[in-house]
Amino acid sequence: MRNRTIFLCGILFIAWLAFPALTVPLTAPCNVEYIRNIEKHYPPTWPKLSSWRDLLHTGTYDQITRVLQSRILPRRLLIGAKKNLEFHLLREPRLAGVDRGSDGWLFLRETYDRSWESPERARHALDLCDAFLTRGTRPRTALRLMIAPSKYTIYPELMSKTSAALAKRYAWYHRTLASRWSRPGTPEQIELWSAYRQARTETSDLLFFPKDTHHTPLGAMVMLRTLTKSLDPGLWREEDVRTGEEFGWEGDLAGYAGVVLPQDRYRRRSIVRPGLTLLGHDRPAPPEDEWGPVERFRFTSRDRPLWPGRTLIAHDSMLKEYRTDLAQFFADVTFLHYKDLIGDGRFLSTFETYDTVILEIGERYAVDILERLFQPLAPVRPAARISPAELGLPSDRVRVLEQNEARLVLETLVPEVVLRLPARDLDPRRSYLLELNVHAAQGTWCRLYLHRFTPGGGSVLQVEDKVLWRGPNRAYFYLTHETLGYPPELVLSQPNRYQLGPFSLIPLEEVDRPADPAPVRVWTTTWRSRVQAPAIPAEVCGNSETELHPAPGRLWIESRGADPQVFLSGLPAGAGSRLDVELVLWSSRETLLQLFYQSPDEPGYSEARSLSRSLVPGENRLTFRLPATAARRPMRLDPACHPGWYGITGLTFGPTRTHSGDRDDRVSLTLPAAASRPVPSTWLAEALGNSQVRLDLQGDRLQCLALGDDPSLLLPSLERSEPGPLRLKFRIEAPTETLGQVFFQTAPGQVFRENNSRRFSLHVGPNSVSVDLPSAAGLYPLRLDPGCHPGVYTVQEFAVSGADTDAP
Amino acid sequence: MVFSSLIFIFCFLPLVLLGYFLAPRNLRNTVLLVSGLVFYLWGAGEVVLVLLVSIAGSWGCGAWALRAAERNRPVEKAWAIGLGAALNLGILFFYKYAAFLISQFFAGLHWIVPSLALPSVPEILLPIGVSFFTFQSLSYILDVAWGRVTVRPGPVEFAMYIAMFPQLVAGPIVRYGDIKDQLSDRPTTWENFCLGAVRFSYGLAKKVLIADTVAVITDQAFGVTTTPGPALAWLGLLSFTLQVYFDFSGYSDMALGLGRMFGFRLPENFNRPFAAVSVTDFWRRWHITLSSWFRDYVYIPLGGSRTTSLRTYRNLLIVFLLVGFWHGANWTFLCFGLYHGLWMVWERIRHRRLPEDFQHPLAHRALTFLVVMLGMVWFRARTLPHALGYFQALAAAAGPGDGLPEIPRLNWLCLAVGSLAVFLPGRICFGRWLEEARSGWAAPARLALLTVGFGLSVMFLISNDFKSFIYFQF
Repeated sequence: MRNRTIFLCGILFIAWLAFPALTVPLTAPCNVEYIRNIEKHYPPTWPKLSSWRDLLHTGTYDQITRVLQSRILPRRLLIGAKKNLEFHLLREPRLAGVDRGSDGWLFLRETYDRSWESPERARHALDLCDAFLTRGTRPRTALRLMIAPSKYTIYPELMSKTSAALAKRYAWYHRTLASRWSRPGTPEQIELWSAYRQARTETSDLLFFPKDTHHTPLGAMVMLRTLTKSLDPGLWREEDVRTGEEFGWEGDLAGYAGVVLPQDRYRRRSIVRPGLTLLGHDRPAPPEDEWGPVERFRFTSRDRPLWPGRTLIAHDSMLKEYRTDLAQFFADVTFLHYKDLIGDGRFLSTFETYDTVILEIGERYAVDILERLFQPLAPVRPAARISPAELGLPSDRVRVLEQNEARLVLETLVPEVVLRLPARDLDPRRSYLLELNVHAAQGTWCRLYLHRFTPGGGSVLQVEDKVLWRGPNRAYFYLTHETLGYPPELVLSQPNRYQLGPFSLIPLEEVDRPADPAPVRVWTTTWRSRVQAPAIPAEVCGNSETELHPAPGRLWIESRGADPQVFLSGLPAGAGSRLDVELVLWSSRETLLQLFYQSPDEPGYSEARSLSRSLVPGENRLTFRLPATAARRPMRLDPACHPGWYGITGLTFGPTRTHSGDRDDRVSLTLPAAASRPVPSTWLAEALGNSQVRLDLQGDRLQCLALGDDPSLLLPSLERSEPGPLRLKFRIEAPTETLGQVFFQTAPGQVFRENNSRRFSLHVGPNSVSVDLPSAAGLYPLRLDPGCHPGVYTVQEFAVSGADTDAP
Repeated sequence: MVFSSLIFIFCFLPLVLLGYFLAPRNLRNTVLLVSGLVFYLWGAGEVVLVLLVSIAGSWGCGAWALRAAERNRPVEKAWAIGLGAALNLGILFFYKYAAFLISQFFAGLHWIVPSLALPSVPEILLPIGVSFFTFQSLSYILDVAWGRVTVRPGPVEFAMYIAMFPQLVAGPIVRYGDIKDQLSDRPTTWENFCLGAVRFSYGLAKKVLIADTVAVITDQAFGVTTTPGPALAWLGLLSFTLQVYFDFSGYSDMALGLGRMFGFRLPENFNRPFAAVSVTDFWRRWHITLSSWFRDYVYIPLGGSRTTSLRTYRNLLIVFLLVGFWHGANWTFLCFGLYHGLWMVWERIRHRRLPEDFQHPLAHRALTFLVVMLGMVWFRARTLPHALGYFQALAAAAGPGDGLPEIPRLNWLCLAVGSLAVFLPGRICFGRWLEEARSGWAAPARLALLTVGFGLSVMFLISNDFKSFIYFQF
């Protein structure tokens, strides 16, 4: 008997060990799908070994472990089994942030446990909103805010006791919002709480899905009715609401908790307003954002009223599914997800182009969103930087397209990708702002983890969330000097494409502020002073990557590599405690400039005695504040970290401005603008490819490896000062007979459309292409689709001719 | 790589088992050696070179010492022994203690001369299991020195003794003399394999189902941002005590099970430590191979207990300070050692050492558990102030603090099951019973372990890896 059971144990053990390997064909695809859909991860890929040393690197084995673990097991089955065991057998009241209520209802705890919020922050956000409206320059634009209530505020009696107690603790949040909303005046608000509560008394049907955070079709109709009636009571007619077939709904909360629950069935509802004529429906071609494209509907009607003028509806997830229903009440309405708006105080420009702006915001994120939309622009005073090249990246979770001193372009393949910033020794007398410059392909959010270690050995974790809007973002994180003693971590929340510039550290609150500088002897040097006697000439030379081209009124610096350096010597001595250096510099591209100075104690150049500034294409006016002792020493100017052309048109040295602004003893000189601008030779280097393209710049040739039949390149705008006809010439080598296309924009932010494009046909081998573009083209980015077949395309000899731009 | 990982259970172990049992007998040690190195490489990367240096150095010095002994050259032998010991102690010191000692030295300097600018101490990556493999090498060198080992082992045999993956990174600390016969000849039978599998599954269940689950509670109490109140402090301490026990003893069970699958009988490392009725008794049952190592190589050479009482107390304190320091380079571990050393001295003064000395064993068992549990504060605390603060919280002297957090029912259940280990009769050692019992209960217990226990463990392992996406915030 003993031997038999022992024998059986051995067989069982072997069966367990072999089971996953034997079922790989069955489980691997299901696991991969599970990871993609439920866990929102990108299945890890096998590591790439570039040398034998990789075999000694633990990262290689971690990667292999992840690959194998994600594929060899029936994850879905096992995870589901455990979650269901906890949920059904142990009657777990909470799973993964989902609370169990009564009658099978589930609630998302985050909606009533935002413990990181504070009443001050809520009030601040609301004040920002009010202040924004008073700054508005176009008062006829009406802003209407609609806070979408959280489920628990409408069905509080279905919460568990624990949840109800928590909700009570954070009831101030709801009260703060509601009290602001009950105040008359702008912005007008669309009050939904009372509408939902009223609807509950009128019907026994559910307004919210029990296992989901969103409202049912009936709840949506209540929202639409309230919204339209708040605009014009005559817009809404109950008979326009049509009831459709039943559908099953599993609920996002069930999936979030990881449990399998029976589906509930609901009846679809939609709006059909007869007598409307659709004049236009603009909708960009796929791929779309997860939260829907920017979409515009234009309707007209003889007998049904429509809300007049241009309306913008920036919505959250509650209205997302009901765009077509809601659109029928408006003459001209544009829908977008609110994350596609421009944040960081630049919302005003969007706001002013519409007659009515309606913001639908989920209650739980109202404060966050209001703050991001309406906060004024922060000051820009960069002092030191953390270069993108220094960031630590999880190689298996991101695809790095470019990483250098000036920028990091990457695609995150999974949610919650953690980038590790280097630690910095900061001045203990100051506090700092960490400035994050990031361009996001889609709106999303990021989070910064800052660890602050206290002298007693404890540690405080500071977590900062920031919304990232589609396009360029500038976000600020407040730091104290001890915070950067430990590497902070930046969490990028969603799979997305990002371009990160250098992180600037902006010093604030200097404790031991030096006294106002004493008057100093003033001197000035410019390159024009080489020919004009009064100024003291400086001696200039460049390193091997730099060629200097003096020209009237300007010193051209041609950078042939990524590390151009210009050495300035023969500079006379200054005096006083501080010295300002003002530099006017024309840059051919977005890059980073760094000025190195020396101190008498420590000759030589070091990062510690340098100041950095970001450069944008075109003219940049920069001011550096240096210790006065720096002036008597040679300096080094690294104008960029890219190849390209950079032109210095003015360089002024002088003492620090006094508080009175008295600068009589300074001589500043700005040289006349150049007669013509060179077209940047690195224009092609700034091209961005879509997911079907891999780009490789070889000298002045751009090689595009098209992986699919829709390769596409985004080219930056040309240096054009004003509109005019434009001819684009280039040579392109095609792998097959195909058709290319150039898209252009005539307004900023415009979608690339067929009617704003020019096609050209290509045959195998080299082709010369000449495309005439209309007046405004080139002021904004261009899109080049080199062909519609996979293969290698080589683009070179790009030439632009037009009214104000000569061919290079 | 750890035993309680999916990659080990479902990839590494099946491949090694296949390789081992398909290989001819004379190549089996080589298979185990290679698999041990791969196992180490997987988790430690290039640090595997340190392991190889330790193996090569110890084997070379041992061989040199043995040859010197054969030729009756005591000075040469002493050089060889000294070199071998210095090599292993040097590795241990450099990787484990150097950074700590330098930083403490700098802190002292800074305290004396606050304006002194001191360089930052470089971070040294601690090789996994360095304390274990250096101690094994050291035991071999010392056994050679004291004439307990007289025959030079083959290089593969010796390397396999150090790098055998079942005991490489977390023990048990096996002495060469205890295993030398098995290195050359061992019974690899089907029965051994099956019983090893049972023991492995038992260890896996202890580690995954109990230790990892109660760790959630521990982390709540000892978290960086937590200021625990008395209830949370006591609950956290209980859960940590259980976590440490189930984690380490589970790992030892897995090691013993794996060893048995390959025909080895490794020494037991735990023997129901919470059934101990005194701290002395506790150390006879807890991490047995470590305490016996210190007993044989430090305590007895210092004179042990066959000397004056004062010297005995001194010896005890030295040994336990070293035991504490062995656990980690931190003042908290020194305090842990000192705490236990002082209790041992106290018990020796009171002549209360062995179970038979006690009239009320249950009361003493409870008292010992309390003493051991309180000692775990030193073990878990990050710093001395943290430990002192935690003691204050236990004594309700640090203000109300954080109350009991919301703990999932599953974790409560696992804590309750784990607590049974404290209350079970002392004579029951379930791990050994599973291997040796012939009673009617043993068969269903083994089968249940291999079906339910193993299945649940895998389910928990994969679920721990699962992180439901953070609900998208917009």
